[in-house]
Amino acid sequence: MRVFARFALLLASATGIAQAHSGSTAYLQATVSGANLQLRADYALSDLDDALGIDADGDGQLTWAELQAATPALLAYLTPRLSVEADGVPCPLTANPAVQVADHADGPYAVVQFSSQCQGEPAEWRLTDTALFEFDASHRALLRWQQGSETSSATLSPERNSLLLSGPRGSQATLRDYFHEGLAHVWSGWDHMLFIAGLFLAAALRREHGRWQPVPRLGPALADAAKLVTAFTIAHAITLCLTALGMVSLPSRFVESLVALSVLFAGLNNLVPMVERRALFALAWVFGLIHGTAIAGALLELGLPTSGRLLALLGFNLGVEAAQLLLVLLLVPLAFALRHWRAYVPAVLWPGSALVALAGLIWFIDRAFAMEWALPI
Amino acid sequence: MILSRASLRRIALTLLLLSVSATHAAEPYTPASPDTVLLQRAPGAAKALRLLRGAQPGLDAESPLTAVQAAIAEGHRSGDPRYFGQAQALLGRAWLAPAPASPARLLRAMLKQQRHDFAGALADLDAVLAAEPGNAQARLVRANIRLVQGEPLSARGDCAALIGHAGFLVIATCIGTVDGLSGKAASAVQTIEAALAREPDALSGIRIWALTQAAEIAERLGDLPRATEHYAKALAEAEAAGENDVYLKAAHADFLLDQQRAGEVKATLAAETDFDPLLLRLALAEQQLAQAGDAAAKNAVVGHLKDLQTRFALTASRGDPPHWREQTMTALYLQADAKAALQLAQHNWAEQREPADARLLLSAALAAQDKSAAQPVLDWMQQTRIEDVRLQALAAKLRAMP
Repeated sequence: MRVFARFALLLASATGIAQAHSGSTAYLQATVSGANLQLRADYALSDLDDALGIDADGDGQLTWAELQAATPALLAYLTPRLSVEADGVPCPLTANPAVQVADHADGPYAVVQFSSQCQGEPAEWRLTDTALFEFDASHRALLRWQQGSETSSATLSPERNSLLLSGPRGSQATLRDYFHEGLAHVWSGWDHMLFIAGLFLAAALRREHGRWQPVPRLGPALADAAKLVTAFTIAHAITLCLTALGMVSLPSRFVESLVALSVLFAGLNNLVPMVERRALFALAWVFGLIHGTAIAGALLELGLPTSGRLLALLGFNLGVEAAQLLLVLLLVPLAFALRHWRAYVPAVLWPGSALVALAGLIWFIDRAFAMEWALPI
Repeated sequence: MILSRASLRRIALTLLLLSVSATHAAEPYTPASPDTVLLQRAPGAAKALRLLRGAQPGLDAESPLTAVQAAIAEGHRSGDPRYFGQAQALLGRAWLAPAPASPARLLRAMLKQQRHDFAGALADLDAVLAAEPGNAQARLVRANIRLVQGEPLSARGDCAALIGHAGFLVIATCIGTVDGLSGKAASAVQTIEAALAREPDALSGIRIWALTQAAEIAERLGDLPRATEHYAKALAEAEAAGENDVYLKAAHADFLLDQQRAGEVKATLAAETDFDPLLLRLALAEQQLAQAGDAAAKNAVVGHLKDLQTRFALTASRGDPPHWREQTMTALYLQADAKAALQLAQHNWAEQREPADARLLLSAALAAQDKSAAQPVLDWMQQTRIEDVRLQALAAKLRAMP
């Protein structure tokens, strides 16, 4: 019954809240420069005490003296469990015997510094860490790998305790990933789609003497539209970068309201022309600035990577531009083909623009007055 | 939100892969004096486990499992989930074996439950109970999982099957918990109270469990004096037994916060920030104090919200399943982000269905003005006939919504 009595505890403490906090975690920070590797490894004192017994006198108080006394045992334990290979060749890790302490979010850690000198200019590294997994199946080591200006991160687990790491491929992947994100942002973000639709419904028309006239040639219409979106993207890129790098900060509700207003304006301008074609560039520029701030706000909420983020931002903006140009290539020729159709203005331009304007208006009210409507945007 | 949710999630994922955990940034230092105390732990626990682990498997067939049991017990006593990871490592090959022997399989089920792998745990428990229908532990754990999943009636059979295999207080509390969630709350409290009076010498763990259940049922019935009394007794028993019952402390904090007694919560939880659920309740208490005009509390909320977000990010970096309930509460109460809270509450409800989870989904649906999102909980309330004054009040508000 003794065992049973202990397990009755489960009912009281396991309902609902299972994980009081994160499990055992180690932090590895590797800095690679040429063939030289510096590795800082932080292990939680509570983990080390459970595994190796740091608390020599067993009084529950882990002192600095006890940690120093346990350091040879700690290094003897870690050394065979941490290893590095450069292009398949093992490079011995040398531990600095002076262990330090660092306070992480979940308590004090022992900090051990290792260094390794490999040969040549390694293209590919392998890092293996098997420490503590034999004691704790939920132990994880969070690796931060810094090579040149690139930083990547990964998690080591009992199933995956050895990682291949390479520098240059990482930056390409970042660029590619964020390019895709930029594409996806335009395709799945209603704000961009509506704003662009508002701008280009009238792309193949020209205002003359208060009436819409078809433009004579497709080329200039396309070039016009492309310049417009590029102006938009450049402005977008500027504020996106400034905000994401923390140099500018605007309240998101204010910015999102402005974005909604820009959509409203783009739609209205086709119904009741307020600015002429030339002035649209200035407007696209201003709207681009606003949109950039808005998307950066969303990106910031998630936390941007501290390194490689310029590349990430570049990829993202290139993706946005590519998606927009693609839209222009699709929409403008369509509008051009339909430009002579008598009903184009009453049947497409007006209702389309009215829809864009209405969406902008509803959205504006929602954002500006914090209505919390369940809008699909 | 300018980005669509799907797009946000993709970006979040990509960023996560790239992002550097804030905790990586901790600066190393050399402590000033050899006597500097770096960490305060419960004396003896680590050593006892180390000794058990060192016991030679094979000399005594029982010894490896004794170490697993000790690690699980220490996990419950301390509230520190690392001991469950250690227990899993001690289980060794039995963790992945298709059909380990019943004693190991039962422990595996308990660890799976701890990781919220309810389906895996139930499969193991079913197998254990098929072989040993009288295994009280397996019955209790299975009943508990069904209660957490919001199916009190399917837990009833396991509680009844305890008769003859467990003590009176255990059986009464098991059945009382079921009744407390299925329309017989008033008699359920009396059943548990009577059993507590009849077995004053029951083991502290069982008494704490019984008192917590009695307190929660009384709380749901709106009987605050009775709930106060049982919570106080449960906390006193836990204190005396050296149990850090995080679940009980969090439930009690919620109870006090509902009564606007933030000062007491702050006083009791100020030193408990290591535990995410308690850190969250501390932040909620500080928020209440800030709303009452306490300027210092306002800054404390900001700091603790940041700490919580760091912990959630750490959980994600580790690849652990999200703590839906805490994340929902953070979004709903601390960030007042109704849309995000509703999504989180829905994920949470898909995983666990205790009254607290029902309350979160109803509150989030109300805040997001999304009546239809609350329907699964309203249906569940009708189906279980649960008595809970707060759930009823929320349901009434939702029904009154246009």
